[in-house]
Amino acid sequence: MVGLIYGILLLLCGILDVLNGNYANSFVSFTISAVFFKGFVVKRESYYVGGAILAFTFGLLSLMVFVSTYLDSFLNGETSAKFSYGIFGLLALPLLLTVKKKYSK
Amino acid sequence: MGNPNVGKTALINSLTGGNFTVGNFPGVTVEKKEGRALIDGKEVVFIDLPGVYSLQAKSLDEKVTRDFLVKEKPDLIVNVVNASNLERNLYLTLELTDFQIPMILVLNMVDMAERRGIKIDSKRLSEILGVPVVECVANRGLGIEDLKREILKGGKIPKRIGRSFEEKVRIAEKIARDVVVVRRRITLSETLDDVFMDKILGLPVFFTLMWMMFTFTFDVAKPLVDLIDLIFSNLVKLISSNNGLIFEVLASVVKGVGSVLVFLPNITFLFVALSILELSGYMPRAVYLLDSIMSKFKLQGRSIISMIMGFGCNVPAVLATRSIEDDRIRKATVLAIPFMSCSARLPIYVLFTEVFFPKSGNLVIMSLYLLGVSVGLVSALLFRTLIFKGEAEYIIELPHYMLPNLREVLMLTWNRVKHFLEKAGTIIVGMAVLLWFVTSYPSGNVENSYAGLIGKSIQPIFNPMGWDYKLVVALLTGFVAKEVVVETINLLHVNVAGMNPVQALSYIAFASLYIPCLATIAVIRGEMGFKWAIFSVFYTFSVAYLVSLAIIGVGGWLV
Repeated sequence: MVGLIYGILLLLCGILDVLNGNYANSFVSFTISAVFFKGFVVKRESYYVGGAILAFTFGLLSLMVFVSTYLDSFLNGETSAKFSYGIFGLLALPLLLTVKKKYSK
Repeated sequence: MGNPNVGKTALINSLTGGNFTVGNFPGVTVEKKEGRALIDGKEVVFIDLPGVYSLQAKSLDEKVTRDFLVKEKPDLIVNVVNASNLERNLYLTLELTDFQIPMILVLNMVDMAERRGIKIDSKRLSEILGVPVVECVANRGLGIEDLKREILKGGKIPKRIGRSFEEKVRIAEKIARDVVVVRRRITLSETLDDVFMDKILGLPVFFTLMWMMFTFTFDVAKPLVDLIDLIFSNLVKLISSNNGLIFEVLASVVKGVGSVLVFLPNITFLFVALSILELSGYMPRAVYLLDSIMSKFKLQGRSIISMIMGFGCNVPAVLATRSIEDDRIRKATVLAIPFMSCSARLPIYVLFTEVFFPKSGNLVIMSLYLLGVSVGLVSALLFRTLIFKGEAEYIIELPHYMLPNLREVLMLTWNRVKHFLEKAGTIIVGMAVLLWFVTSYPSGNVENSYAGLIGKSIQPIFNPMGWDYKLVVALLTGFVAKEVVVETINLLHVNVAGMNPVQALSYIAFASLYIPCLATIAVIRGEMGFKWAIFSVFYTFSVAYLVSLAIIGVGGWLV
């Protein structure tokens, strides 16, 4: 079930990025979404682990891009930033922590 | 010494406090390196040898290792083995017993072995081999003090075990059976391979990671780039406000160095991302994923490792081909490496993409990297089909995934960035002075200067592309080091925005593919001889010329 929820979340992020004309980021979201969906279909936890790592990394990267492009525009006397819905990949953190706890036992 | 990717370099770093480059893929060390440490007041010299599976001297690095043992006769061999894969590692250990040199066996990465449910009876192993056995986790510094104590004792001459290849393989299997206890557990590493090596999703995941790497390099580093640019611009203004020849030259130097250093954040961020991918153990997986593609180009997995190293700098990448056993594949790889976009070319890409493709800069840069890889692969296929013919097989070892250690990421990044900074402090400064001279003499304006005269005489070759003669001069100076292209563009006050996007794209494509820098040509000469070094110069120039001509043709037709 977890895989399905995260899969749908990333799929939505991908669709929203497509609507914003952000095709490369949407490709990333769709790929991660596919990883979660495959985990759900084949019922293997490994795909949730991989998906969580990728989603969280992408979320963190999207956040960094948002902050740095905002800072950059600020340096140039403007206030704008590059936003990607991939930032919601940060929501994979609880899943990532659960997995980490499990494998470090 | 030991097999590839068993942590030899990490061990030497722990013992000596050194900062040799480590990685989580085979073939990081291609030449022997030296490190010194004071242990209880005694100076000990450590030699880090390339990782080898045997001493049969089939590849160049096996030859380097064997020659060292035969000719240099070290006082002690510290044989590092991977505790998770004892049986395979023991074959080399048994070969080493033939040399009858005092030895210590280091069981490295015991933590990882334990996580996989592997326990080794090191006391029993020590009895069988007749040498001390020390358990270690080199990258965390565990077991290092025990090892130092054993080193001071000088190790022991091992029992000579097995004569022939077959006998040694049989004995290695038997020893491993005797001393290894395995309680099988599913590891995170195996779990991750389900995803990263998935037949369908593996490649999209690979491109996802590549995209993330370039976004990190381009977008996240941007404010730092602008900040450094601001600092240097103000510095140049300050210096230029003074009159006199000294200030004129100084302003030229600061401007030249600044125009290159401004891209330091991009380069650092690229190296951080590459280091994380390398240390995590993902790189060999990428190689495996791309293997079906690689085999179509008649190359092998190890070629791709060298080619990926070329993203950092082409010089160590050419040297890394020494681990390729098949000489024909090695030569084809060496000639393909100059097409890999080294970090020095990144400033050229960033400069032009910021002007012409501000919204999709990372996509354009990623495409340029892919262009380099594609041209390199096609060239390799051409060389393997026409010149270095023949089939070859290989084995690729997949290391375990590891959460990269921050210290190692920083060390690896620093070792690479240092090279860039050293060039900024030497070649770039020197070129700035030279460029100031050739653009100021014999007359005061650039057009009638030496640079102008040279540029104008060569420019007709590039007439079909419509590039300004100053841009041609920039390409010419890039022969010394690619960073100098941007420096020259800046010092010659080239109005890049005056080009059209197709011309700009053809220029950066040319800059990404043309003639390797002087240092790369020198190593190609060292590895393959003068004839092939010259061939590389002409071949890369011709390919770059044809590709940019094609861009102009297709672009002109589309726009």
